[in-house]
Amino acid sequence: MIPLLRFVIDRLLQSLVVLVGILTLTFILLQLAPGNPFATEKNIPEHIVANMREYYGLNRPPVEQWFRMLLNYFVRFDGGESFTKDGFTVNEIILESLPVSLLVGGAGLAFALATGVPLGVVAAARRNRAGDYLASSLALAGICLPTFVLGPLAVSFFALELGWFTPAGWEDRRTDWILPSTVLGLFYMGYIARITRAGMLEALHQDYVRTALAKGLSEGRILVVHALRHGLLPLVSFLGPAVAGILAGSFVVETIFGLPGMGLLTVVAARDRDLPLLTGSVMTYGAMVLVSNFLSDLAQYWMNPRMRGAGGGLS
Amino acid sequence: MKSSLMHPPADSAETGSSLGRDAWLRLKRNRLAHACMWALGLIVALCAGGAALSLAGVLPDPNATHLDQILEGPGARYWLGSDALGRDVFTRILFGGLVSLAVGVVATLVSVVIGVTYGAVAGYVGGRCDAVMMRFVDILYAMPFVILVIVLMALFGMNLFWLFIAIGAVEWLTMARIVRAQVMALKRQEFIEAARSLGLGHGAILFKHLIPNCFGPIIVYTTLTVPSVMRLEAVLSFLGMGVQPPNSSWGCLIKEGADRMTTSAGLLVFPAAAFAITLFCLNFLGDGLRDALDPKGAKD
Repeated sequence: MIPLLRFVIDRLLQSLVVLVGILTLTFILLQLAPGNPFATEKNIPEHIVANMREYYGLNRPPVEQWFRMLLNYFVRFDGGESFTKDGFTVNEIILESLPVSLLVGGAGLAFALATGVPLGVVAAARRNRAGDYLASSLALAGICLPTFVLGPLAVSFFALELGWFTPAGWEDRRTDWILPSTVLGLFYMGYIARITRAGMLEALHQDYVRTALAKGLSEGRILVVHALRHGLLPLVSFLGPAVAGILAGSFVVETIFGLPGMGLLTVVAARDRDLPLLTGSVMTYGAMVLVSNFLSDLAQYWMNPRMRGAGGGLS
Repeated sequence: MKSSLMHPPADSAETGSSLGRDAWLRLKRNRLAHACMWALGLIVALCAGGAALSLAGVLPDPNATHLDQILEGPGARYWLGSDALGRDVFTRILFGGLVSLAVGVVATLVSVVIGVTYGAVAGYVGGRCDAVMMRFVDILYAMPFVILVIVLMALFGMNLFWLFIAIGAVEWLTMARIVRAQVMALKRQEFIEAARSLGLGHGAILFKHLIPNCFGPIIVYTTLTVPSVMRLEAVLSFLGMGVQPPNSSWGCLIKEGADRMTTSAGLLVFPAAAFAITLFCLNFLGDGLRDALDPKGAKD
């Protein structure tokens, strides 16, 4: 238990450092980038721009701005006010967008896992036979047909042709998540199936699997009970960063389906140089990556008894 | 995936110079990977040859507009139809393919150079320096890559050169981690000690002895980076942040096609098919190379 506790504390401290780094890097990048948040088509009078800069504290020295931001994030948990969406705080905007991405991404992830893992297991069990080729090709199709091809095709067929769904938007919450989740999930299904296949192939070469075979256990039992636990390890380590990516919203999927989620929000904030909003969404993404990496490491620790000895594998 | 990339260096020392030959023979035995290699060669030749023929005037000019012949279906005049400005889709796909492939290769090289150097230095120096360098990688890992690309493109302008650099600059992270792990394992081996006792400098040890011994995983991961770079380019172009007109790429063509798919599906289907087939071949070739270069896989 002690190495585990140490690992958790170490990781928390590391995550804090990484979060400060993310904030700082975003700040520096946005300071460097040309263009400013108040440059619009409308010609805003000079003194109004000056007032706005004063209001948002942009006239202060960059170091002070950076320090204020740090204080806001790590002490008050407050992202400040958005430059471009008047009267809304960053926290409000993100709390509005995040559920959309979480819902679509969560459903997509569930779909990807429910289809990808079985495909990978079948491919590994039937290595270099028809079943493998079928499953592997399906998986690769998911990877090679990019979301921005599948998305429009799905819209044109299921929404425009058959009329089952609305083509784009986020009005009918009972059905609007289905198409985007499926398109998103198909892409990850491919990756998950490939990684599962590779992991299972390695697991099936282990001595304990041969022992199980020699004992006369059935193939199905060996696959599911003995090999799966070892074979899923690479998948769990892949899921660490991937889960955050899925749940934080894909801007391609959100653009195609017109969903008001985090991915789109991030791109728009970057385009409009909305520093507080961009920092907020980048920090949200970063925190999600850190959390899901942490969970993935914990899961590996739990799944792989070899890592438990002396806490060696945890780093 | 990670574990299969890390073959023990002792094996490469045993087989000596014939590792490359063995790998080549194993790759040739893998029919699918071998076929994909030829298919890729064919695609490159087709794009380059078609572009050359178009410049020579045999095939239509991809940027010549014919406003009286818009959105035609595939036929004798336009082999794969014409787009909304009456431009020939076939030659546009060939030219777009050249751009996509060029981005894939050049941006991958950029990412390989950055990733290998960074990872090797971090692994070789070790200690606090390594910790700081790897924390920086963690930071970049936890940032949405679009932000980096958007800011880099905004800083330096949207042209092909900076697109290469921007994509390369976000794709090097995994390579750095792989190479670092390799170098950390290798640097304690006797041959490095021998090199050091012969009086070699750090630079020579790093670039002449450590990095060449990591070539296996580097090559494998490089082939797998090319398709992901190409996808990134396509995504950016699809969002209007990548390749800019009059240049075109498969991502741009897919975007144009997606806008008009209800009236003329060919505009979406043909470039998407070209893109998908290329990615398919690159992925299979990468897998094949991994199996070929990984001594563990040779046992089966």
